[in-house]
Amino acid sequence: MLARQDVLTTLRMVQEENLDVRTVTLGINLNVCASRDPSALVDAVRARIVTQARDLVPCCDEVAARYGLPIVNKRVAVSPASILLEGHTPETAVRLAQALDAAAEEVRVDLIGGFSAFVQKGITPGERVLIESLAAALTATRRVCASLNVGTTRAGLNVDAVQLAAHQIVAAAEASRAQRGFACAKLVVFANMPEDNPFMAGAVLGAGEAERVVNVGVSGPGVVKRAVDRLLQRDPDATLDELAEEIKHTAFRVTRTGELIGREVAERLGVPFGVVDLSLAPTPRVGDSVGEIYQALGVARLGAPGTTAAVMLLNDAVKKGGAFASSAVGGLSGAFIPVMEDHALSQAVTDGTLTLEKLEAMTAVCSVGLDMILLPGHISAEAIGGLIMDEAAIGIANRKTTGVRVIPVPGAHVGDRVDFGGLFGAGVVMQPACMEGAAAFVRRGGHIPAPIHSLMN
Amino acid sequence: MSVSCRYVVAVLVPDRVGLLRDVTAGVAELGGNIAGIRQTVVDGFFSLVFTSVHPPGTTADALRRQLAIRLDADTSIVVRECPNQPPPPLPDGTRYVVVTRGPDRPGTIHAISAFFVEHGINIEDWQVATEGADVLYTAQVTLPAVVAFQPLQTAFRARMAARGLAATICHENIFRATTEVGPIKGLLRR
Repeated sequence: MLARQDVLTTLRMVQEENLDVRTVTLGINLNVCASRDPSALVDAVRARIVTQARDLVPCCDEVAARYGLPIVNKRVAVSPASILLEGHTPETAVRLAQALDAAAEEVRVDLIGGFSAFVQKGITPGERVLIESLAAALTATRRVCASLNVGTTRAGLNVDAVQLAAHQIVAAAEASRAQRGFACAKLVVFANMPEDNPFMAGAVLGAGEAERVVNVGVSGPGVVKRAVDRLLQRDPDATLDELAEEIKHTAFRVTRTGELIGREVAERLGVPFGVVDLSLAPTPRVGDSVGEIYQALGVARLGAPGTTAAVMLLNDAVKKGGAFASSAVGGLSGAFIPVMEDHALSQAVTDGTLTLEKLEAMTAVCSVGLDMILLPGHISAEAIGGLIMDEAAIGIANRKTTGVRVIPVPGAHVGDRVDFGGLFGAGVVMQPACMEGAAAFVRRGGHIPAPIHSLMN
Repeated sequence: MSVSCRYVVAVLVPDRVGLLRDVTAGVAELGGNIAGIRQTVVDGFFSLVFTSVHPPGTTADALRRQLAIRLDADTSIVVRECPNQPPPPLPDGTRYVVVTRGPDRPGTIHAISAFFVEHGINIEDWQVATEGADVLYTAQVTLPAVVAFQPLQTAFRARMAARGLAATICHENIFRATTEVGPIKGLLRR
C-alpha cells in the first residue's frame, strides 16, 4: 500500500496545484525529404510530418485521460530546415514553411519548430536562404517557429549571422505590422542552442538525434509556487536553504511525472523517449508564473536587488531535484523568464521595477535569455544585434544556453501595451537604457573567438 | 508422503508492546514458518493476519492453543486451514488509487464499496485516516480492461458528491512515479 502522506502530497499536486505536462514534442527527421525539386520537397515534407505525427495528439489525449493529467501542448519539432534548403531559393523556403504550417494544422499541433539553422561558425547557402526568408516565412505562417544558433562556447560568436538575424527581426516586425510584430514572437536566436529542446520557439530535432523522438517539458511553475507557499505557511521564518530543499523535492515529483507521461506516449507511438526538459515554463495565467515564485521567496518587487539571486536559487533547486529524478534530463532545463508570457514579470516591467538590463543579469543564472520582450518599433537592427551579442556572450562565456526573442512593435513606443492573446501573453514596450552607440561594433561583423577555458576569473 | 500443514491466522487484541514477538514465538515453537503477513493497529486494536506452514501433523487447534498461551486473555484468535495452492492470480487490469475525502458520516465506506461492487471491481487494499476535520478513505483497486475509466471516474465523483464527499480515482503509477526513485521504465513494464 502506498503511504498516506505520499498519496496526499501527489493528489494535492494533481487536484489543487495544476500538475500537468507542459508539452509533449515529437521530433521528426526530415532529411529524407531532400529534393532539388521545390514541389517534390514541400510535398514530401508535408506527407512525412502527417504520416509520422498523425497519432501524436490522439495518443497524448489517451495518456492524459488515463492518468488524469493534462498534456497542455502537443507539438512537433523537425530537423533543421536549412539542410533541406541547400540549392534552393528564399521562395522555396517560404513554401517549405507553409508546408510545415499545413502539416502542423493537419496533425492538430499548435506549433511546429525546426525552421532553424546552426550558424555558429559559418553560413552555408542553404542556411543563408533560410535566414533571409525568415521575415516572409514567419509572416506567411501561423504555427511555424524558427530558431538560429549564432554562437557556442566551443566556436565563439558568428557576428555576421547575428547581423542577418537582427535585420530579419526588424523585417519580420514590419512584415507583421498588422499583428503588431507578432512574427518575431516565433523566432529565437540562441547561443549554445540545445538540440533536444521541446519548448517553442526553439524546438528542433538536432543532428545527433534519432529518426523520431519524444521529448517532454515538465509542469509549469504553479506547482513550485504552491510548494513554497505551503512551506512558508507552516514556517514563515523558513530560510533560503529550506526553501531550496522544498523546491528540489517538488521538482523531483514534477520531473518524474513528466517522464512517466512522456515514456508512455513514446511507447504507444513506437518512438524512442528522449529527454525531460526541467524548464518551468509560465503562461500568462495568474498562478502559473515564475515571477510569482520569486515573489513568494520574498522578492516583493521583481527587479529589486536580490532578484538575480532568487533566480539562481530557483534554477539550481529545480535542476537538482530533476537530475535526481531522471537520468534523461535535457533540453533547456532552467527557469524561463518570458516577460509577456508571465503576468508577474510583465507587471514588473509595467511598474518600471524590472528593466532590460536587470533581465539580462538574470539570464546569467537561468535559462533561457531575453524572452518575449517588446521593443519600440524604431529600434535599429544594430541595437537588436547588440542585444543578441550581449546575450550570446553571457551564454558563451558561462557555457550555457541563452537566447533572444524580442518583438519590435511597429509604431509603438516605450510604455505602450501590446496583447498577443493566448499563450503569447501581453506586456508593455521597454527598451535598453542606451538605445544606440554600438552600431560600429556590431557592423564590423566577423567572428568573436571562442573564450579561453582557463584563467577563469 | 507426508504433507506440511498450512494455516491462515487472524489475531485481534488491544495493542501493547511485544504482541508481534509473542505471536511469532508461538509459531516458531511449533516449527512453523510465516509465509505472508500483514499487521496494523486500528483504533488501538492490534490486528494481524498471517499464513504459516508447519510440519506434518500440526493441527489448527494446536496452533491456536500455542498462540493463546503467549497472548492476553482477551485476544481473539482464528486459525483456518489454508490449502497448499498458489494464490489466485491478480486480476488482469490496471491498478488505480481511489481517494475519497469528507466529513465523517455513517455509511460512507459502505457507499464507496457498494459503488465498486456494482462495477465488478474488487477493493484490494483500504485505509482510513483523519485529515484535519475530514476523514480520508484510500483504496487500491484493479480496473478490469472492460471497465472504461472516464465514465467510472465521472460516476464515482457524482455518487460521492451527493454525499458531500470529494473523490477521485488516479492511476497508481502517478503515485509510484512521484514517490519512488527507481527508473520510470520499470513502472510502465509492471
